[in-house]
Amino acid sequence: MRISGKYLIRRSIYAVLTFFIALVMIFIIPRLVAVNPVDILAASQQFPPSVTKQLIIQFGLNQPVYVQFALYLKNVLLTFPPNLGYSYEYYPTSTYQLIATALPWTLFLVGSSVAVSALVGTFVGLYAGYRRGSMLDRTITYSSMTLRALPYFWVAILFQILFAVVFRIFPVAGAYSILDTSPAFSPEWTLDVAYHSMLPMITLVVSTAPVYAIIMRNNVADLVREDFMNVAESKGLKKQRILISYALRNGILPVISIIAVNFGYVVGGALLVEIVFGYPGIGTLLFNAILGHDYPVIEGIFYILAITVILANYFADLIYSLVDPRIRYT
Amino acid sequence: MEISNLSVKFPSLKGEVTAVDGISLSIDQGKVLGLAGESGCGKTTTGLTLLRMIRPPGVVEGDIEFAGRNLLSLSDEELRRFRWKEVSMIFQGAMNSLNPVKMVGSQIADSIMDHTKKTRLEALKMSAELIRRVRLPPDSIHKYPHQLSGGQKQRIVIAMAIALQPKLIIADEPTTALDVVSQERILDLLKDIVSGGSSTVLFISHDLSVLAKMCDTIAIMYLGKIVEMGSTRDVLASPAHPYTSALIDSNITIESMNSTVESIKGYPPVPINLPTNCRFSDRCPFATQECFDSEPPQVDLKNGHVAFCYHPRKENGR
Repeated sequence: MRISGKYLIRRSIYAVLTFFIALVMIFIIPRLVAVNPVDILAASQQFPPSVTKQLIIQFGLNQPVYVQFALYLKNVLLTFPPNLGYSYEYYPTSTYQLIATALPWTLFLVGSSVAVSALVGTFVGLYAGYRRGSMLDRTITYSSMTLRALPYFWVAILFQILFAVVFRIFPVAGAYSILDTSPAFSPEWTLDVAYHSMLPMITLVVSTAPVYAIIMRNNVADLVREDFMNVAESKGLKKQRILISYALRNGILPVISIIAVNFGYVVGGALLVEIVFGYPGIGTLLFNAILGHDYPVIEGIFYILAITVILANYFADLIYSLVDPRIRYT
Repeated sequence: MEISNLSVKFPSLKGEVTAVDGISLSIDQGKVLGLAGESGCGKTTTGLTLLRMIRPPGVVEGDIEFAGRNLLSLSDEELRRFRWKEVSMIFQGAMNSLNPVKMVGSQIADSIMDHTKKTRLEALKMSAELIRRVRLPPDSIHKYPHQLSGGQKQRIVIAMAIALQPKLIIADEPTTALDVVSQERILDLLKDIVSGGSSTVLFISHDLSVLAKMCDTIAIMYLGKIVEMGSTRDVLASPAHPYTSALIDSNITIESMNSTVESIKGYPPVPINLPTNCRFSDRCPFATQECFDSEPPQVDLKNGHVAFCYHPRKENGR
């Protein structure tokens, strides 16, 4: 199980190419809006005309488009931290600063919910598929399909009302208690953050785990009919070995690529959940940016999203080739 | 291994399909029994039954006595321990018998680990030894199935089947999917392994020339029933049942190249709701009214050679 150099290089080239295309699109799309961003900024901050003129020169908006593009590449790629412009709403806070504050919250929420839901979904689906046609299988399949059909935000509101308002088990909103003054990463703080993340996380798990469960279930239900699965049973192998080494190892391949796709999807999907629970992550930031026409922040978030999705898919390809020895130079 | 009155039935929309219809067989320790017949006559189903691999809604009736135990009354865990340790199987089509994402050496080791107290390392050592026994290069142990040829995969499957030195090995068309050259090599290998005399083998094939090479005894099956059984020499040299003769005549040999090969006219009927008569009657050139009306009797010929026919060879002119 080794990754060949050729495969690695090819995948890396694809990832870089995709990234570049994303960069170009992020550059083009806001320019199609035909509104001068400095006008909006000037209007929102009530700058005098002299400052506006100064800003236009400073942002390079008086330059031709290709110079602007070069400037954009230089700001995004060659500057560290990347210069993603200034927020109109929170001027002079930079977009980078806003994202850097919000991103860890979302990564924490999305990362843990993707991990939990992939794990739960995969094993539930594995078992249902292995016992295909049984009562257990039908229960799992039908309830997964039902849960899958419920919109994220609706589940979020339902859970919020049920577990925070009616039963008061979890906090209604926020990522930590405002009253809590213990320093970041102290045990009390960590516990408080985990406690606040429970409801949004459960919401995301309940909404995404069924996808893994259904896919895994169908994979395994097909696999069980394969000759080598019959042979494994004829060999008198222990059940957990048949389940793990034979059914899971073969059935998990498509799930890996879905985890990667979902990583991007969940960052977007987490948006609504974050808004419902007032979670200070990328989703809430994006929501406010859209409401306030805060284009630099929107662009910056798209930039981060593009990187997340591309990286997730890149790693999925690598993991894929580790799990399935048949994949080499594709 | 003592099989008596074994039937396997599958419900279907058109009625009950009787894949195996009350057969009785016994295999002597250390011998090779060949099971021959056309496609769909119940050879593989018989083999799978001996591992209790017939899944519901399939129904198995009768008795399978193996080393003093009744196979049909084993509990789940007993059955798991019984499989492969007592009876193993070389499956039809080695191509699909192996797990595509696991190295073949560790697939052999899996069965060793789940049936003995051996550690992973010891089991892999045994795998290496088995791979040597089936005459594959030592580095094959680290190969994945897709990196091996058909013949090599078949060798791995054989290594897997002999890993636990089971009392009975079922070889279900082990060479059918291979080209002629690998076929010959695999047969030689199987013969070597069998000739030790410690293993009993049930060899399933539609190819009489393969069975002639491998077997001590041959049973001919037609539509779920055994129609003739006896020593390889007796059955092939002086067949008593018209179906056996027809099977032999349809075999192509170098000598028969210049004459036409006789195929058996027609197809076997679908085994749904069959009447009790001679199953071969509607394709048999010698059939008389009694063949269509009632089940033929067992005719004992010399040396335990038996046939189920109203007109065994004397009367049909052979």
